[in-house]
Amino acid sequence: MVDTVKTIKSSGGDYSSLSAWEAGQQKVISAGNTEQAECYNFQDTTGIIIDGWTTVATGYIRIYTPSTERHTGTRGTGYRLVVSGAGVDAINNAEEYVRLEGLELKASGSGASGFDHSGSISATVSDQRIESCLVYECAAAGVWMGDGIVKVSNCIIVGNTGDGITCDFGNTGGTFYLYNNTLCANTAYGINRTNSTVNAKNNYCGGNTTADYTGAFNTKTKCASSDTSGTASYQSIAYSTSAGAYFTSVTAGSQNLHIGLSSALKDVADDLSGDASYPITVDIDGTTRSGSWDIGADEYVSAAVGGPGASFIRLNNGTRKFGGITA
Amino acid sequence: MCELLIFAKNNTHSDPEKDRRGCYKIGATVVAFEDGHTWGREESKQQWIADGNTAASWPGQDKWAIIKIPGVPAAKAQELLMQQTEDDNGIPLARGNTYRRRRWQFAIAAVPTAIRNTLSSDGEYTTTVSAIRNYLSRIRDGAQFTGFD
Repeated sequence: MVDTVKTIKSSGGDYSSLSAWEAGQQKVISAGNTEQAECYNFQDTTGIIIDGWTTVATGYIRIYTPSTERHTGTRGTGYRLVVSGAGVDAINNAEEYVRLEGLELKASGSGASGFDHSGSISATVSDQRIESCLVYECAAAGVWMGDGIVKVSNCIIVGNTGDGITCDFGNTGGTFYLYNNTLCANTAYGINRTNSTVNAKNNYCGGNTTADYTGAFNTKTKCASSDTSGTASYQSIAYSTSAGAYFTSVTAGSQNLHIGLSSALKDVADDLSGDASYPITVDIDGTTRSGSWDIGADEYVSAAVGGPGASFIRLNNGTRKFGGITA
Repeated sequence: MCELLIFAKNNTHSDPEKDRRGCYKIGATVVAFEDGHTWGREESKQQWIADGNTAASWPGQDKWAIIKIPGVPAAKAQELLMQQTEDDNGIPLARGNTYRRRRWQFAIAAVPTAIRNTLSSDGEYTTTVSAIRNYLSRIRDGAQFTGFD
């Protein structure tokens, strides 16, 4: 087994952009091997297309941030792929086995999304994962998915001109698992199921202009909303700092969607650690979920969590605390 | 000044459609930055050497070439990064589909031998718009790139 890890840094790295990494490492990945891009905290400005590779279930592409280089749930705080060209997505994927972890994605050019796909991805054997990502201010849907098996968890998708997530049909259709995401202040729907099989659990959609959810879902359990489109008994939970979700900030352009102690999203979700299709165990900050789970990307923790051996702890408002110093 | 990172080899895939659509081919511009960009050690032979490595051990040999074009803002090179979204008859494909990884190419094989030797030995070459113009063309019909004008 060979894990090839290359660093993406503004200086001192193997590559200075994720796009160049994708070109330079493009190859056939054998079973048991992985190709990994380790992204450090800076603003990368060239959108990437992931295509031309051969991947398999145990030989996949992983693009991730180390915990110290990762966003704190708010914009501009970690490695970020911020692109502006018309029709240029931040990440456009055409490969079957790809994992994205802890990235910030913004695509402001007309028609562009944070994540989109091209090509024809198998509807039955693929495994695309988007985890703990922050997707914002895209000119189209934050995440647009149409083909293959796509798993999205612990993501905050906010302030996009369009849907937060669009579930549609590209070339083959697919099956999508949307677990513990927070989708707010998008100008169309939070989650728009137009086509394909969609399983949604433990999500919160709030303050989306048209509605929070729309379409026929295969599964929609414990999906909360600020309007009446969520799961019964999980509706009308305000997108607010002073009621309902009790987010840290809902100021447009600088939302901090970590929840407060009084949040109606706290302790009311299902434990998905044993989910048969897509088990998850952590939240957007990497905090291990325990006890009664919270709805959305954030699992509330008190500031005291961290332990004596921790090099830093991440407070629930998204900031990091290093040895008593809050950063 | 604009600095272009050019792919200097042909990647291949066993699926011919995926090979054309997804694989980088020789002469593709991968990224473009303003003058003074700090390149990664796998992208730049000079950076690799500056990091204390030997020139002979650079993993980007025959894979990468950096072309520097003084006086050209990187914004003018963005079109070189676009994929070809029309077929070779110029007919646009459906939304979201790509025909070829890049619409334009830099004809490395056609440049004078002395320049190719410099690219091979240094990993980079500084040129001008007028000098490079004849070597940047649209793949489907050979039309000359005029985006720098």
